[in-house]
Amino acid sequence: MNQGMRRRLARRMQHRSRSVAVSIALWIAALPLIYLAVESVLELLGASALWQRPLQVVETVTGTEALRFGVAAAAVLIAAVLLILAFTPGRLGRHELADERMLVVVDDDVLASALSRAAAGTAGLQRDRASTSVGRRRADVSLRPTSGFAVSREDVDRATERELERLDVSPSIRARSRVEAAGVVGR
Amino acid sequence: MTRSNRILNRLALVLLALLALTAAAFILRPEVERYVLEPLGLAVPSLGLAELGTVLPIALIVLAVVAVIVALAVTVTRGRGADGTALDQEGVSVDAGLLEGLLRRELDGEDEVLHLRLRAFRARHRVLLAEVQVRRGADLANVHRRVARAVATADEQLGESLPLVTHITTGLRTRFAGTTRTH
Repeated sequence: MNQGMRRRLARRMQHRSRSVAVSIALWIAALPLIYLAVESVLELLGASALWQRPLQVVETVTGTEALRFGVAAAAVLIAAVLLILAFTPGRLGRHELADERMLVVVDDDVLASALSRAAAGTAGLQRDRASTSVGRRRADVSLRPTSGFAVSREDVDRATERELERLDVSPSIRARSRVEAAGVVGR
Repeated sequence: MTRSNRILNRLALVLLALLALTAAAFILRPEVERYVLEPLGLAVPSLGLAELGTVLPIALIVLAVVAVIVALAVTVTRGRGADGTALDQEGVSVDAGLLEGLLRRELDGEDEVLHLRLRAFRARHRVLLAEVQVRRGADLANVHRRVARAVATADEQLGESLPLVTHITTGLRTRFAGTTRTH
């Protein structure tokens, strides 16, 4: 796999495609048109309208003050959502692990879980006493110690940093740990 | 991995946003004329929808048909590009399932790996995507090492290093599996 291909695939794996959003937006745009088309067919056939004739629908929407502002506000809101979807990076919670042979992408929850394991192991706690949240550039490790037993924050920081070095995560992450003041009874 | 063109997706979203804004401007036409167009010295001729007669319903039907065709085409063709062939050259074709079996066999006994699924995609190039579901609290470095070893063995047996993306993830199996295997 050459560098260009690797970069392209890494980008695709770490960003949303937006094709679901496009499909939904297209159907949202098509729905009023489908309704107006049904009314149009009924008008051409001379049958009675489901609600109003197409021209009357336009006149009702543009003529009633409350309806006019309501529909326009909805359209502007939809436009704003679509523009946000189009222009935001759409990053997924994933990081890349260094590997020469292949592209390795890992979900942030798996990474968080691995850091929790390293932190809990160092602190001598059970795995469920450590929780980690992973962002793009940092990881926050939180530990709930056993009452009466001190946990060294420096040791935990060293262990999580060592784990991150071992994994060689990209973009790089800095881990910070926090030991909760209130401990729990038990191991 | 799929063939979906992401730039086209973004452009489609921008286009639909502009359509929505145009619809809003049409609905708020008197205000748009008073506060935007008149200060700029611009005037928009009246649309005269009532004078269109039967053209309006026909135009609406055509528009709706086009909108439905486009929406259907985008929905149906979304995410295409997957095919079951991992390698196809010089008359030799290797099924992705075969390679998946090979990798699974190599990872057999690795407690932290719950499931492996291999899919082949043909977009600009042929690419394989291996989804590896792991246990909660898995030793990630160990999983990575084991997968890399399995891939190296597969490469050796295949005599070729195919472009591969490994996605280490969680799933339903992870939710129901414990942190360690119980025998």
